[in-house]
Amino acid sequence: MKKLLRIRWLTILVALALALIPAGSAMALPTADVTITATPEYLSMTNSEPTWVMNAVAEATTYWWTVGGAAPSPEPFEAEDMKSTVTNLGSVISDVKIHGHDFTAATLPWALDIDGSPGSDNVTIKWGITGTTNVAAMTFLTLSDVEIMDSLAATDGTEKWCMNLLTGTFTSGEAQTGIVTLTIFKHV
Amino acid sequence: MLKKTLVTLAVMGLLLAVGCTQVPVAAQREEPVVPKTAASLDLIATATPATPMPTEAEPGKASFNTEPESDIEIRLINQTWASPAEVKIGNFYPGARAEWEIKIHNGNDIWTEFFVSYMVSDEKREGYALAPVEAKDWVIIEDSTPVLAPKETKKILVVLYIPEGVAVPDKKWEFWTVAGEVSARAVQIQMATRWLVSCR
Repeated sequence: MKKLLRIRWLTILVALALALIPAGSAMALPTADVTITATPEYLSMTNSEPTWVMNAVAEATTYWWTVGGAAPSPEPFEAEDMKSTVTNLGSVISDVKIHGHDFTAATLPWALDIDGSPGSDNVTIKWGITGTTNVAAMTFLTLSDVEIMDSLAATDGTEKWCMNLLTGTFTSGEAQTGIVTLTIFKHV
Repeated sequence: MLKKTLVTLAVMGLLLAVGCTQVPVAAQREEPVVPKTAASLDLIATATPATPMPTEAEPGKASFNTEPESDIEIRLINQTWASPAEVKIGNFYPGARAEWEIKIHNGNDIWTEFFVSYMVSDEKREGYALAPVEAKDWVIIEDSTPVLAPKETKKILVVLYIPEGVAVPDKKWEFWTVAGEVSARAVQIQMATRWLVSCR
C-alpha cells in the first residue's frame, strides 16, 4: 500500500515538473516585448473634379484645367479660377502630396517631361493652388511625390488647385490616358 | 484501484494541458483592441467577392459588416476612408513579428475594388529614417486587392517581419501603406497610413 502511494505521489510530481517546463521557457522571453500602438484616426478626402477630358489636342499647345479653361487671371491665382477642390474629411490635420505617371496608350504612350520643353511624345504638366504667384511659379508634375497641400484642417479643411498641360510633338494620333495621384497623410 | 489510477492520469493530463499553453510572443496591443487574425508570412492574396458583384446596392438592403463603430464612422459612412493614420511599433528586432489590421471603408453605393500597397515616402517623422530598400520584403499585406461591398468596412492584416540575423541600418525608420479605390479617374486618391518603427 505504502509503495502504491509513493508511486502515485511520484506520478503527480512528474506531471507538475512537465507542466512547469513550458512556463519556464516563457519566463526566458525577452524582457521587453514588441509593442504596437495606434489611435483610431481616420483619413478621408474628396476631390471635386476627378476627370479631365481633353479630346483632340494640337502639338506644342498649352491646355488649362481651370474653371474658364484658360490661364488664371488675375494673378496670384484666385480660388474662383481653380478647377477642383480637395476637402479633408478625415479626423486629423493632414497634408496632401501629388505625383504623376507616364501616359498609357496602345503603342506610343507619352512620357512626362519635367523641364518645360516637351519633345517627341512628351508632355509637361504643371499644377498650382490658390495663391500661386503666377503661371511661371506653377510646379512641374513628376513621377515623385511633392507636397501640394499642407495642414488641411480635420473634418472640412479645403484647398483649390488647377493644372495645365503643354504638348510636345506626336508620332501617333492614338488616344492617351494619364493619371495624377493625390496622397493624403497625417500632418506632423 | 483502477479508478484512482484513472483519476491520477486525468490530473496529469490536465496539468500538462495547462503547462503547454503558449504565452503570446507576438506584439502586445494597446487600445483599441483589434481582433488578431492568424496569418502565415506568405499571405498576399487576391480577394474575390463571395457573391457576384451587383452594379448597385439593392435598395433597402444592408450590406454585410456595415455597422459603424464610432461617431466618426457614422459621419463618414458615405465616404471612402482608411484608419488608422499612424501605427507605432516599438522594441522591434530582427526575428520578431508585428501585425496590425488597417480598416478601409467603401463609401460608394457599388462594389468597389481597392488596392493596399507598401510605399516609401520622402516624408518622415523627425528622428526617423526612411525605410531601407529591403523593407518592402519585410511588409506583408494580407489582401492587396480587396473588393468591398457598398458601405462595407474591411480589416486588412499588415505584418512586419524581419528575418532573424538581418542587419537593420537605422534604429528608427518609417514606411507607409497606402489604400485607395482602383478607378479609371484621371485624378486618383490614396490614403497613407504612417508606420513608425523603433528597433531595440
